[in-house]
This record gives sequence, structure tokens and C-alpha cells, in this order.
Amino acid sequence: MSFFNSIFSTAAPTQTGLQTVEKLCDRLEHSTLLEDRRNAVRSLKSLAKEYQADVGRLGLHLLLHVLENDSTDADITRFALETLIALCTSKPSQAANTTAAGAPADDDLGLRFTEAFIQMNDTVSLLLSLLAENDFYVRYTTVQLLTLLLTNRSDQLQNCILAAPMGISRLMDLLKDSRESIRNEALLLLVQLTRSNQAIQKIVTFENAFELLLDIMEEEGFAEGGIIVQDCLHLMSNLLRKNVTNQNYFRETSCVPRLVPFLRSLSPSHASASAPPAASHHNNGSSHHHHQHQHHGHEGHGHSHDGDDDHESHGHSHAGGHGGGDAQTPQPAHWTEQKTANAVLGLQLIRILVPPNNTSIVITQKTMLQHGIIALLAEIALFEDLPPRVKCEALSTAAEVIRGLPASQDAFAQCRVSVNGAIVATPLALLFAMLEPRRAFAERSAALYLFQSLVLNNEDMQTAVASTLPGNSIPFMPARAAAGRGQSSALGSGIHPSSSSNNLIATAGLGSGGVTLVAHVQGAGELLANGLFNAQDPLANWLCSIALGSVITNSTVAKDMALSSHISARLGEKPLSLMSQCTNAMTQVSGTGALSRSSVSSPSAASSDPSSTPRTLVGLLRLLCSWLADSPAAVRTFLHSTYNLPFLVELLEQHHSTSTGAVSVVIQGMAALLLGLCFAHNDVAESTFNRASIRLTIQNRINLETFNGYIANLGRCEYFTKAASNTSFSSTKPGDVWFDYEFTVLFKRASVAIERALDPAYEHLQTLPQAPSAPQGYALPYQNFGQNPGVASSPQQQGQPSPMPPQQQPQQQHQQQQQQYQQPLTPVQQSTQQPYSPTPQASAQVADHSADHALVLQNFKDLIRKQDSEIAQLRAAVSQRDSEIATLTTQVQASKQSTPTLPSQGEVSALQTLTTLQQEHDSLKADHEALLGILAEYDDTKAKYRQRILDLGGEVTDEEEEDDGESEQ
Amino acid sequence: MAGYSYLFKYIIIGDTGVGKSCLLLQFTDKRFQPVHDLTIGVEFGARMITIDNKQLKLQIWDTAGQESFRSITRSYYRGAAGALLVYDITRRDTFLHLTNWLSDARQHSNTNMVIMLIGNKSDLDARRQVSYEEGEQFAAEHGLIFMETSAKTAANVEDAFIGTAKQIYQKIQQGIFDLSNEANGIKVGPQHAGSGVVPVGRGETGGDGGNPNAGGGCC
Repeated sequence: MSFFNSIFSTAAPTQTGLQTVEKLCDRLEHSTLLEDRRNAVRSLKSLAKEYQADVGRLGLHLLLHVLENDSTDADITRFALETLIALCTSKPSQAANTTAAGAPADDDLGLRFTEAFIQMNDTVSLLLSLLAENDFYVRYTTVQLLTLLLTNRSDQLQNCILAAPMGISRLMDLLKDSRESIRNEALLLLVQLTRSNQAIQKIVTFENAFELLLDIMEEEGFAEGGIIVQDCLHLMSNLLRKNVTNQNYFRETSCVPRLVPFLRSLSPSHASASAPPAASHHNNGSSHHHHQHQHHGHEGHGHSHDGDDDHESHGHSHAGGHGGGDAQTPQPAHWTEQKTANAVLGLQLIRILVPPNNTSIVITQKTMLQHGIIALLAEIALFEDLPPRVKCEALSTAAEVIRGLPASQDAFAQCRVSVNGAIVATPLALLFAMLEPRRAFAERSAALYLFQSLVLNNEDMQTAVASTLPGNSIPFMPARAAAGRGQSSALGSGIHPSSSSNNLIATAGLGSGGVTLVAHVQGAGELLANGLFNAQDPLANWLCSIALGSVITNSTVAKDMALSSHISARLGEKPLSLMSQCTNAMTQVSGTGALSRSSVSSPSAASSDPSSTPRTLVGLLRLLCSWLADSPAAVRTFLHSTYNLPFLVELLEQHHSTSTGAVSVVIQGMAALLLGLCFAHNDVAESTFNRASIRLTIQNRINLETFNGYIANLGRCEYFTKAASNTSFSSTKPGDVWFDYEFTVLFKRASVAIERALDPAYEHLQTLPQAPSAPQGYALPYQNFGQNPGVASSPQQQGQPSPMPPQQQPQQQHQQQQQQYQQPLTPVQQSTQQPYSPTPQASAQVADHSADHALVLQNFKDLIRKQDSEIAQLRAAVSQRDSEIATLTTQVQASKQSTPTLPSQGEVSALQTLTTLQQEHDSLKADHEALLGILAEYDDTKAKYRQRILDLGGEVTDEEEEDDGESEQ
Repeated sequence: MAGYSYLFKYIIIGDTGVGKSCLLLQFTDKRFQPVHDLTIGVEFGARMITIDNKQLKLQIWDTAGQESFRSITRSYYRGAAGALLVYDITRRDTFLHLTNWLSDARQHSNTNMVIMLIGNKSDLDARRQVSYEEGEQFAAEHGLIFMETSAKTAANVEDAFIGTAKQIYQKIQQGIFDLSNEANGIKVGPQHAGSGVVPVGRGETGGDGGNPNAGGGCC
């Protein structure tokens, strides 16, 4: 002790500090007395913070030596460990560093010593072996040091621990330590250890981590259980995120039902009648929590930083909740910050188990359904008095738990919750939450996400909701009960419910075969329609547009129901069709100048959100895109009002000329998409708005390239790519969100269809008035044929004799061209490969039907002739390949017999050639078959036309009969 | 029914390409996948079986055979009650490496771990490089149970997994295992213990539910 005192009597300037450190290190190195060494380490420890550089530089290896040789003495071991902790800790700010020592300030000493310490021989094994010591402080400080090293040099430490025999087992044993402080420190250590390392995550799982953690959570009282529960949830999230093996483990070892009591601890009914066992556990543990808070204080930073990206957004939503709705919804009394954090993490954990757009999650979704998790989530998500962060998370969690699985969706719809004291069905409560203007954007958009997930790939649910639209005259007929399920979801983007395995739950969940479904959604259509045209709340317009868009997506019946819906915009006004109301509203919001942002005159200034006026327009455009896609009936209705098409063109030009802002890109792109859909799914006969005239508009008035540019720009803009990357709404700021995920799916499909429809090469396939839905069906193989360079070029490359004289093709084309110029132009004639430049006369002369048919027939014959020759070429190529393959195969077999061991160089290349040839052969065969398919369809159409020509009194000549005979061969 | 009397942890070890993952798939999903992705690290499967009218849950950890994963594989030895040591009867080298595998296993596992030696791919008899007798003899020398299986035809696959379970079960009956220590890969189930901690009636989706993501996620 006298030695110790002497240091401090003289230790004023830096130089003396260094000298003292030197003296202490010397003593530590050379003293033979344990007590001297122990005192030296204790003194070094007290200097390590202030003279970090000197103590580290001179003492690091000596401290390691202590751990190696003096580990029988608990005190010196503990002091050495504590000194190491001080050395490896990074100073919070560099400013403090510069004043203390003359050491280079820009160098992080903590990281440098961490690195140096790890690189010394076997340090990690040494530390792991210290864990065998039962002394509290040795074990406790060892865990802390390991956590610190892991935080500083994650990858290196993870690898060292993986390599050490029984390394992870030892760390896992700490969770079973009866001393809670050690167990709690071990939790923090494991959180660091399991970060983004799948191998470690699996071993930790193998060592029963989930079972142990769930036990601890139960002991601590679930969501009420303080920061220890937060650590447990954090660790479990680490183990499960993006780790499919562990997700399977979690499901297969009955961990899912153990989440039920956790959710129950969040549910409002629990709060009112707090379950006695949980409460007693809570009391039991709480004293320890307080004890632990200091230890967590340091790591607390880690918690808020190292979670996932959602954290920031929660910050927003939280703030939003306070700013917007604090007066109405103060932070509920029983919701402490800690409980809120636990709740959010627990809900996120459930979401990790059911990542959207992943077919393998269906089993997990079903397990959750079986254990009543859906009802619990419904109760939590739709409870009004919740912290906004929890509410948002619960809505999104419920969405992903039921998403795309009809049995779960039905189960959710069957739940009843209390809203303002009244008991209502969940779908309605959900819409109330979405339409509540005082709620923050994050909550309202999360409610929308849940609503979309409720109807996704569930045509019965979709039609049930659509049937409640005001004035709808089409009765709801559940398809599922009669015809099983699956047909409706074939087009779906997300999960396809596997028809075989669903039945069990489907029948259980939906007692009366779907008839009752409509009872659960009664009133939904009305709410949606009201929200759609509520002039006070542009955000509601947008939310309802998207919700209704999801209701009718991919469902002809639901679209028809929407078409038959009539409502009056204001009380007492004459009801108009829903579609007319939509287009009227669009015209209104985009009325003079309203779109050029500066002059926005939001009538009631319902929100200060500058995005409010374009928001209504974007929403309505989005709704119409869902509506018109694949629906000639909707296109017809839309175009029936002669103002609509010019309006779209106006939208394009207006924005083209006024601004180049990001929202402008959005509106242009959506208007172009809608215009494209009017073209692609058009079966209008009248000349005003048929395909030909719309094509003219696109090509002449807008310019095809500009038009395609609008659509491409939309697909490239940040709003779009962000929405496409995540099924839920990732931002909580309304200005950042213009699209929902489902729209991005629709967009991708629609833009391909539009591009194909506009391509002159396919026009002939699509102008068939008789088969409006056919084009997609057979345009696809034809496209493959046309675009496969291997097919197109290989005959020439191989120098093969074409079965048809080469000059014949140009001749044919020439003939076609002549015809084109001689005859009046019709839409059909655009089929020729020549670029088509339309003239005003052309579109005016579409009317004469019999001439039309003759032309159609002529065109088809030309086309068939041409394709016949192509097929013949392909056939020749195929047979050529066949013979080549045959020779190669015999060669290979021969060489195999001669050299049975290693294949020679030549043989390898021959094999390679053979494989490529076989592949080519296969693709040729496929093309061939596709072409035959197309031919068959042509024949059908031709027969139909001939019949019609005959009906019309035309003549079919023998030569034409002959043609038919040929093409049928 | 729901719940189980005991849970046994297994590991499957052996050279790469001997059919470890296929054995697991055949046992849990009753199907054969001729082209299987290389196992990265470790994969997981589970199935319920019945022995002596008792429900037993098998929790099976399928390891990667390559040398580079050896240190990871070692972490699984200690906590396993049973090991399936697999070689390929059409590749002699996989048989010759058994000694290494065995010493590794013995060194890192608990002493009571039941090891079954499995000569896989018995359907490819024409290409056989290791005779049945050789396998049998190796097993006898090292005190292992022996069986030839085919993950393709499913021959003996059930017997291999269930036979191992029977051995472990026997050892439990004889009181060889300390059941309070879960580190030996045996867990007393809720059905057996009858404790109220875990709610009875928790459903199992069971191994027949399929394990469509055997490929594993990415980091």
C-alpha cells in the first residue's frame, strides 16, 4: 500500500505517469511474490483509463501472462481482466484523448489493443477456459471482456470462438448460471456473438438457445419483464433473421405456441386482468433488473443502433403519433418505454418467421393459425389505446401472418374487436383505423397493408368486399366452397396457397363454406367509397384507392361488381357509376393549375402535407390501373366517356411542359400506363377509341419513344424501386410514399403487356376481334422464336441449304408492301414487319367489314406461308442437328470404349459440343412446337373467317382451300 | 398425439457426397432428390417416431462433409445422443476415412453417444467397392451398429434412424444417461414429465410437412 500511495503523491505531469507505468510493469514482470504482482496489476488497472496508451503498450503481454499463469488467484485474474477491459474500450470522443496523453489522437486505442490482444497466442481459448472458474468476478469480467472484444472485432472473434473446441457450448452454459448477473451478461455476449454468422447461429440453436430463452422470458414475465426480455428477444431475432434452418427448427420444435403467452401479455384483455403468475414473476425479477441497469447502460447504445433499419422509422412514427394524435391518445399508462420496446421486438420476431413472398412460410402460417395467434394479433393490432409504434408493428405483423393464406385471412375476418365501445368485425375496424385522419401516416398505411394482405390471392374475400360496394347489383357467390380453391390465385404475385394441404384448416376456419364471409365485411364497400371521395382527406382518397385496387385485382367478378356500383358524390345528387365518380374526381383534382404544385389550393387545407393534391390523383390512377388491367369490359366503360382518353393525354403533356419533379414522373408514368392498358386490353369496335386510334394517339400525338420513356421512368424512379423492394410501406413520411408493393407487381406485368401490344411485330396477333384475351397466350412462344438469335442465325451459320429459295422471302415481303400501299389501311395491316406510319385516312377507313375480312384473310395467308417456310427451315435444322448428335454420340461411345479411364482432351470438347448441340436441339424443338401451336390457332381463326366470309356472301376460291390443306400438313 | 416422451438429438456425419442429406430427406419427407445442393454448414430436420408405445421426437442435424466445415461440425458432437456415421459403398475412400471420423467423434462427444455405421447407396450394388462384410467387421471392431441403406430406394432408412433411437432408449431404461443434463442430447418431453410448464396440446407440424428450404438461407 505504501508503494501505491507513493505513486499518487508524485503523479502530476504526464511524464511521471509514464514512469509509474514503467515501474509497475517492471514489478509485474519480475516480482516473484504473488502479492506484489497483484498490487501491480491493481495499480495498472487504476491507471489504464488515463494512460491507456502507455499501459497498453507496456503491459498488454504481461497481463496475458498473468491470465496464463496466475489464474489460480481469482483477484489478480479479475484485476487483469478489468485492466484489459479498460485498455480495449474505445474512448467515447477523441477530444478527451488529445488532452490526456500526447498520443496520436486520431488513433482508436481501444480497437488497436483489441486487435493486438486477439492476435496474441490463443487468447480466446484462454478466456474461454477462464469461464470454467466458478469465481463470480472472474466469470463476470471474462464475459464482459469477451463481449467487448466481439463488439470491437466481430468477425475475428467469431472465428476464434468457432475454432475453439466447445467454445460455444461453454458460452451457452452461462445462460444456465444460477447467478442472474452472469446470465444477463451472457445474454449480451450472445447477442454480439450471433450477429450475422449463420454457423454460430445454428450451433447456438443446437445448444437449446430457444428453449432456454423462452424459459427466461416466461420467468421474467414476458412483455412486462424488463430489459432482460428485450435481450432475449434480440438474441432470438439474431438467430432467426434470414436463417431458414433455424426458422425450421423454431417451427418444428414447438416454439411457435410458446409465443402465445407473450402475445397475451400484450393484449388489452390481459392488461385489465393481469394474470397472477406473470405478475408474481415480474415482482420476483424486478429487483435484479434494477441491479442490471447499470451494466446495460453502456450497452444500451448498442440496442438502439444495432437493431434493424426499422428503428429510425419507429422514431418517426413515434414522433408522428405524439404530434398528430397525442391529444386524443396519450401514451397509455400501463405502457412503459420498456414494455413498448419488448412488444415491438416480439412482434418483429413473429414477422421474421413469416417473410412475405416465400412459399415455405405457409407451414409456419398454418401453425400460427392453429395456435390462435391470429385472433390475438387482431385484438392487439386493432386495440385503440396502444403506443403508435406497437400498433404499427402489430398491424404489419398481422398482415404477414395472414398474407396469401385464405384460411388465415378468413380466420382474421371472423374476429370481432371493440371500436369506441361497439363490437365490430375486424375488416371494418381495420378500415376505421385507416380512415381516421388524426392517426399518423405510419399507422394508416400499416392498416392499409393489413387490409391488402387480407384480400391478397383470396378471390372470395375480394368478391365479398366488392359485393358490398354501394349500388352493386351482382350477388356474392363464394367460389371456394363449390369449386375448391386455387383458380383465382393462379395470377397472384405472392404466395400460391397449395390447394392440397389447405383443406383441413379451410373447412375448420370457414364453417359455412364462405357464405358468411360477406357478413364479416358488411359495410366495407361503403367505407371505401366514402374514403375514396372524401374531399377533406386526400390521404384517405389515396389509401382507399389502393385498398379498392387490391380488392378488384385479378378478379373479373370483383371488377364487374365495381363496374355495377353506383354512388352519389354528395347527399341528394343523382348516383353515378363508381368509375364515372373516379374519373370526375380525377378531373377535378387536376383541374386548372392544381397540378403545378405551387398553385395548389387545397380547399380545406386538411393537412399541411404538400403532397396532398397529387396524392388523390395518383391514388385514382392507381385504382384505374388495377381496374383496367386484363379487363376489356373496364376499358370499354372507361373509354365510353369521351373525355377520359384526352384527359390522360393532357396529363402527360401538362406535366411534360410544366415540371420535372419526382411526383411529375409518377403522374406521367401512371397516366401512360393507364393509356397503355386502354390500348392493350381494348376490344372497342367503334372507331373513336379502338386500338387503331389509340395507337395513332400514342405514336403521333405523344410519340412512341416518349410514351415508353414515361413508363420506363416510372419503373426507375426511387419511389417505385423502394416500394418494389418491400411488401410493407417502408417509410413513415407520406412524401416518400407514392406506391404500394402490389402496384409494382401490377406495373411490371402491365408494362410488359403494353410493350408487347405496341410492338408492330405482334399487332397481327392482337387485332382479332374474336379473341380479345388471346394475344398473351400465343404471343409468347412467337416472341421466343423471333428473339432467339441462336435459332434465327444457326441455319446460315451452318451453311445449310434452305429448303426454300432465299429470294422467295423478299419477294413475299415485296408483295405485302405493295398490297399495303394499294389497299386501304386497316389495323390488321400493321402486322407486316415494316415500320408503319399511319395516315389520317387510314384510321378513317376501318369501317368496311367485308373488305376487312378479305384483308385479314389475305394477311393471314401471307403470314402462314411465311411461317411455313420458317418451319420447314427449322425442321431441316432440327434433322441436321439430329444427325450431328447421332454421329457425335457414336464417336463418344467409341472413344469411351477405347479409353475407359480419363476422357481425352478431344473427347471433352466433343462432349461439350454434344451438350451444346443437344441444348440447341431442344430449344429448336420447343420453338417448333410453339410454331405448330400458333399455326393451329391460325387455322382455327382462318376457318372462322372463311365461315364468316361465306356467311357474308363472299367466295372462297379453290386456291385458298389448297392453302389450307398445305398449312395443315 | 401432441407432445413426446423424449427428444433425441442426432447428427449425421461422414465424407462429402455419401448421401447424408438424402438420408435425412428420405427419413423426414419420404422422398429422394437425385441432385442435392452441397450442404453448407449444417441443416436441420425433425420427425416423430414411436418406440414401445412412446412418442419420440428425433431432432436431426445434417452436417457438411467437407474438411473446411470440420471445426463447425465438431461443435455438434457434445450435444448429440446419436450419430449416423455414413460412408458410400461405391467409394472406398469414404470407407477408409471412417477411422478419422470416428476418432473425431469419440474425442468430442459424450461417451454414451450411440453411433450407427451406415453404408449408403446399397442400390448401386454393381459399383460396390466395399463389401458388406468389411462394413460389418469395421463396426464390430469399433463397437458400432451396422446397416447398409439406400436413400434412393428407402431401403433400411427407417430402420437406421429408428434402430439408433432404440439403442438410446435402451440406455435410458438401463439408467446410463443422466436425464437432468440436456447436454447429452436427450430431453425429457412434456408428455413424459407431465409438468404444467409447457401447454399440452401444442401441435407439431411434423416432419411430413416437408422441408422445402433444405438449401438454406444466405447470410
